[in-house]
Amino acid sequence: MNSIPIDIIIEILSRFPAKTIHRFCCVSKLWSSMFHSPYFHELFLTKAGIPEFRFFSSPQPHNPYENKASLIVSADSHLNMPWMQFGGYASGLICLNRLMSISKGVHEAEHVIYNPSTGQCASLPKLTWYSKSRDGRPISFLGFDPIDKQFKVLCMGDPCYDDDLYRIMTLGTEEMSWRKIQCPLTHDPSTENGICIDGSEKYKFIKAEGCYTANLINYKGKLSGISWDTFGVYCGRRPELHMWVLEDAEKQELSKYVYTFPNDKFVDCDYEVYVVGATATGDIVLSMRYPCTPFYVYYFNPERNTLQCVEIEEEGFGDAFCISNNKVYTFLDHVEDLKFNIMKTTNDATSTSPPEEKRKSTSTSTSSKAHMQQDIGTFESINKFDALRHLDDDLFTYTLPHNI
Amino acid sequence: MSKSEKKIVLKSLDNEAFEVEKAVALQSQTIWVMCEDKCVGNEIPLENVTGQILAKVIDYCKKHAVVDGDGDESSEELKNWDTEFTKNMDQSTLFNMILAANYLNIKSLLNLTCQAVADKTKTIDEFHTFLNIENNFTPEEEAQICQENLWAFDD
Repeated sequence: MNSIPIDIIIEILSRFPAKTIHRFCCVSKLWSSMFHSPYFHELFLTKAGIPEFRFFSSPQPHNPYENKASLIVSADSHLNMPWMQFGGYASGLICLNRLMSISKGVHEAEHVIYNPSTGQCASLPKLTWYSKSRDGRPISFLGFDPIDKQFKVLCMGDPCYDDDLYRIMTLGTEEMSWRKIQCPLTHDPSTENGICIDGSEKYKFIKAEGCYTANLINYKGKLSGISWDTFGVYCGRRPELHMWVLEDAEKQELSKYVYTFPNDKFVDCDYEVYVVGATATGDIVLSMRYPCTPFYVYYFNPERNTLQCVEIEEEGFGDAFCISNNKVYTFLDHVEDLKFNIMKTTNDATSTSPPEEKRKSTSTSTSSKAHMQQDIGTFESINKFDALRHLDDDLFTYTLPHNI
Repeated sequence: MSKSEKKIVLKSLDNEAFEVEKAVALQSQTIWVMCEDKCVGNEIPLENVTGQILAKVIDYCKKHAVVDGDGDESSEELKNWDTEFTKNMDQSTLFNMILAANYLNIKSLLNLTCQAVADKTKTIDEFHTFLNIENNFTPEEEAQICQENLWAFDD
């Protein structure tokens, strides 16, 4: 009997939703390896359409524990960036990356910094390295250092092959280059799970037993890992939230807390929910991961033991993205950064403006273009903090095609 | 151009002959190349396609051909026709349509049929059956890989 050639099978598979594809990883070894190839990844993204990023934001609720809480989000801007993936959010800026093999063993990482408030984006200098890794899939993080008021991008390679690939770049400095930093221990971090608290560039490893699946958040200024145990749900128990708080990094003191959710709202939820972060008042915020209607974020207060669903309302927010393989990233404390000149982040910046851009009514109308004309060598921290105070506590979400 | 030159005969694997307009047949890149090379006469043998499948392929090509100003059908109607065309095809017909579209190199038909398979296939077993693939994981490996992709099974 004739069989369908492998390229046609790939063609068919690239038309499946991501979820189905992951399910199909179980079909055969050949497929499992094929799905993880960069070729398939690119084909899949092409079929899913050009990745479009849409940004919505909303003021954070003053009292999320009102009976019927909902938030109206407004669409801020959108961005078409073929091949780009989400690489991190920090203090009003978004880092997108694209990682590829340019020839056998030679890999290249491109980073784009995007400011959804102004619509500006700028490319960072490319990072090229040699690796035995087949996919050469490094991980990038964007962090904001609140002490020196600097944005930094950290890029690290495949821990199995590129154990010395730790590069860091400070944005907005005169000399834009990737600096090498040392890491004493090979490790394999989760891609969506890194935070910047104080801008330190030193690696320090802290043993946290049982904490391996935790999301890192900044809980009242302290580094915390949160994971939850929903396993008991199937035995009729309520889901538990486990939190490790780093009390003292020098002494490596960790406290562990276990909270039981006050109700079973998550149990009915078909969609994956993940930890976004914590507010200044100590509410832990959780968000759905995939777009749907209604779309909820959750406020959980461990001290008061309260849990509140807040519905995100925006016409078509859920529906428009449900159809294909989109993913929602939610951020807390979004600031509209109208001052930071991302054009300055690179020597050979290629800059583009998105085709359509809406400014938020609450934003000050400072033109970033005017700012660009000025000859400044240093970061304007004073102005930045005006913007910070003005728009503190924004809740910010954006969606993009789900990456497999 | 004389009338005979505008027509072409396609002969299937099981020796069924179909006389079609050249404009219809030339949507197949394979046939187009064969005609260009003049390596065949007016009759083209298609050794990989059965009469039953070829008839369907020709139906599709007729619908999509632009013949003598005849192709003024709206794209909406064409889309609906495509949907209807693949809607009631069974797995084996779809399988053979894909092979035929690939062999004859008709890109739009290949797209249509691949999409139809993707739309109709919901489970691994269905896709297994469709492609006749064997699962070559050991039970341990399968359990591990399912565990890794657990989120995909939770609906």
